Amino acid sequence: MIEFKSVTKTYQEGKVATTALKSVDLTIEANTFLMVLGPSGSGKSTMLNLMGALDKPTEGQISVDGEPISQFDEKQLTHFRRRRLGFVFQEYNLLQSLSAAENVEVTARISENPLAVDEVLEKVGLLSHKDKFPYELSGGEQQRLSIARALVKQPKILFCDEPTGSLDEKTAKDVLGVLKKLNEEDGVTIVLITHNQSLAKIANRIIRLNSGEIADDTSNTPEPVEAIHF
Amino acid sequence: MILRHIIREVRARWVSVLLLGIMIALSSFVYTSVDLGIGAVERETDAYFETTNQEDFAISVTPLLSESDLDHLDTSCLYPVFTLNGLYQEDQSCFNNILNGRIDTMEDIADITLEARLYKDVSRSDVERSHDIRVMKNSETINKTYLENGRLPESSDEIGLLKNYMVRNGLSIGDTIKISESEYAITGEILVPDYTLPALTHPFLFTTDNQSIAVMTDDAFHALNASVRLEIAGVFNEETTDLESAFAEADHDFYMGLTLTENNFRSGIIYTEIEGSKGTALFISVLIAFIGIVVVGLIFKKLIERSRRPFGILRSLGMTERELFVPFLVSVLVFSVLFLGIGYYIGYLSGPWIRDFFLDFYLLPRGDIIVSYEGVLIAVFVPLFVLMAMSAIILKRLLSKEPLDLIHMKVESDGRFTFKTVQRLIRKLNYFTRMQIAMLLRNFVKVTVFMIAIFSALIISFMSIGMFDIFTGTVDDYYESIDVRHIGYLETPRDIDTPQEKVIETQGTINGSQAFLIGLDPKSELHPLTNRDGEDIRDDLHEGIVISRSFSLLASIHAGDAVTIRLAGTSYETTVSGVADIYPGEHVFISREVLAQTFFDDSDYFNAVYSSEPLDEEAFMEVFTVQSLIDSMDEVHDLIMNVLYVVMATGLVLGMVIVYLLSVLTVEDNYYNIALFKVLGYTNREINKIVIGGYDKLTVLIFILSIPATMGIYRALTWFIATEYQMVMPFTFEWLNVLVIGAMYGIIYVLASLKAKRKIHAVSLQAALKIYQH
Repeated sequence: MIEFKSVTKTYQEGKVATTALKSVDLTIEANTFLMVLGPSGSGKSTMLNLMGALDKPTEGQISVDGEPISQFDEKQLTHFRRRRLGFVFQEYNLLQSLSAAENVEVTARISENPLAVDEVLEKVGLLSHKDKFPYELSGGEQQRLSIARALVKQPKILFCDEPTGSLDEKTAKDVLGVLKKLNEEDGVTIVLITHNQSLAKIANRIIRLNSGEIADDTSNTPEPVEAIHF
Repeated sequence: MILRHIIREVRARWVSVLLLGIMIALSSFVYTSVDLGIGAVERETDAYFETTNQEDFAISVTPLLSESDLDHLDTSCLYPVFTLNGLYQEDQSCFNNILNGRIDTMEDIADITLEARLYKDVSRSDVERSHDIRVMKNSETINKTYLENGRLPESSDEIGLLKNYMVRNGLSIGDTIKISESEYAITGEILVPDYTLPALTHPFLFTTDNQSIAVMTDDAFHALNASVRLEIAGVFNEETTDLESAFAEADHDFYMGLTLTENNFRSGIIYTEIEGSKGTALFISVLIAFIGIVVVGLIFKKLIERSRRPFGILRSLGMTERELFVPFLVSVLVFSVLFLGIGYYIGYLSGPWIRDFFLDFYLLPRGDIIVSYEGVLIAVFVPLFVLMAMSAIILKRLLSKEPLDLIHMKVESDGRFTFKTVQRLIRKLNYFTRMQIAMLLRNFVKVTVFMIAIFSALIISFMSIGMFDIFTGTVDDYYESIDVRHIGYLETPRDIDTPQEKVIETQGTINGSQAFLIGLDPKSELHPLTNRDGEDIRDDLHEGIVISRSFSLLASIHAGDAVTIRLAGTSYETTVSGVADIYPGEHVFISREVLAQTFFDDSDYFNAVYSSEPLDEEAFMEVFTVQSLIDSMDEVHDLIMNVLYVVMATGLVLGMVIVYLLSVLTVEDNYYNIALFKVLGYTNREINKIVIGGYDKLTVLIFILSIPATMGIYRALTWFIATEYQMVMPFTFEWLNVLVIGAMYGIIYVLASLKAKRKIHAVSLQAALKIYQH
């Protein structure tokens, strides 16, 4: 469970202070597929940074499964991310000099109880490509590989930052299918941020951010991935 | 606006830009200073050798009277003497007859012209320390005296000296110096072409602090109370021929050996020095320029990559490729011209210093520094052209992309082609090692430059530190191993009443190689002989001869070999019973009794005495004091050390600049990877291990490789100098040097690593979320 209590994040650049999140209260139950929507500058990325233990709030408290991560020092935050969280980025962020299997191994190596690399690659449909390098894979395959890299450590929560932003509709649906399956079959909590409203249908909870505040927070009956249109 | 952007980028990385500038300036500086300095020496040298008719070769003849000399000996010349000098002291016309007889005999062998080169070694008596003066008898056709200033001596109380010696001793034309009881007025500054290096008493002793060449009138020369020594100078009349074979075939009993000028240390090393210095300077400047240009290329590429997004925006706003291209290229032009110009100017200012530094050792006329178009072209325009071309290519490739491609940042790696091949080879290595190799391969070009630069810097450092003791080592080690402190030379043996050791010192040949024969008593207390294991091998003199390690190397003669000693037409066959671990030159030890009986028909014969106590100079023809040689060697040592410190510092600076720049680049290249690792939960320690760890191992590997490479270079140099100049320079590889160099580079590397680690720690986690790592 992720819990935000009166969380505010202000960025100071020179003499200009910008508040990206304003006193946000939020609770995300385990196994949720949460879709965070909002226009540019609404605070989506800031929220993901804070949830993902990549940044600390200016005010307020954040806890994940009861652990007060807003009070952690840098070392503790690193350890926390290492044990508990997975990340998927819009631009895949794969290491080009490593093969597909080795990119997954990068995470497996620092995990406490990792899955077998081949098992994870099979789960995302890339086992036959395990010796290929990222530059030999298509965009969708690269994104699936980045999901495999996150999954190998068996994270409780998977944070996805615009995971389909660079993909065409068909490939995007493949990737979303993988994420949905993880949520439904493996019970992984998924937090997906996007500005694409059409993706919201597949989540069971939707939050809309605007100017650093939660403008709308609704439950949703998720639809199959095939039902969405970009 | 573009220029403002460039200026801001330069300001933000001023340390890197300044270091790059220094590297560019350094390449121009090294080439220019040596080109101008050596060029000035070279130009004058050619003309000087032409005017003075420098010898093409020098022939050593035995100082003893040989059997064939009897053909030229008149009945009025039958004096009880064994040596040419003995005859010279008794009757100069008899001496000249024999000398002319030898010259005539040798001129019949080939189309050559010969002239005897007589000299006497004397000491100044008006100075506290021993000042050795080699007075040359004026030649008529070969090796003519060259006058730099003043005039040649015209009366018996006049002398001409080397300018270098006069300057170092505060002497001017018109001053007087004293030799024995006679005073001589200095009339001029002279040079002789058979001594371009003042290596009078020892090849490594070439300062003019306390030794000089001199000329006098012939009468004054003959009147000097000292032994006359000689070599035969020669020139080829038409074409050069294989004289060595011809002389060996003729097998005259007075002939000892022939040295071509280009292989003669005292007169010919200048040829190798000029070519070697120019070659070395060119090599070093090309190396620095190559490393500099590649590093400039890498950093410039980074600089442009940082401007990629602004370029994309400006292009999309309608700015043309040319409008972006020109300001960048102009900036590179200004930057390059500025630093190449600075390098050239400092090189220009240093040219006279290099020339004067050379002329401190070498006895050559002083030429003017003349700027040549070729020099400017090589030092400035060639590197400028390469820098500009490289920059233009990088810019052109970048700007030819579509605006949107520019806006969406990509950081490309340069190792794709190697990933697949290497992946198969390293599959079984542990995870962190594989990651380190992958990180190194990502930046293949940079890593290659890093390796070459560090390897070169290490070799430069090893070579300089390895030469620290080379000059004193050969002499000091030898004289410290013996208790001989004074050597008294006699023309004819006679009774001496001090408890000194009687020895024979003479020149001879062993299996055709010239040797300095020392007839030593096997029970000698003052001159021990030890082998490489430190065992006393004096008893080996009962079994045969003991040769020095340097003679063994020069003549390729080893323990157990059967050899033939030749001296004034008499041969003696024996075996090499031991090799003494000393490097003073062509020293060969033989039992004095055997030497005396075999070659002088008198088992009591001796011509010198060894003593640990000072000798009465009046009782001997000449007294040599070991300490004076050691003192002089120490002066040479100090001079050489200053040069070596400069070389050493150059190696270290080169190493520091490269390590610093590349450590900074390494972090920048891996900026997004580092951020990604952080997001994934890697600790700083683990990230350091992956990103920097590969360089740690590579640096250690290069360091280890540089050790056998240095040993190989030492061997090659020893072989080259021994082959070319019949001299052994005992480069010895000390493990202490490995520790010292290792510690110095270790400190540099650790400091650079700390800087890199600080940069790694400062990398923002959010960077991974924003930028696409292609």
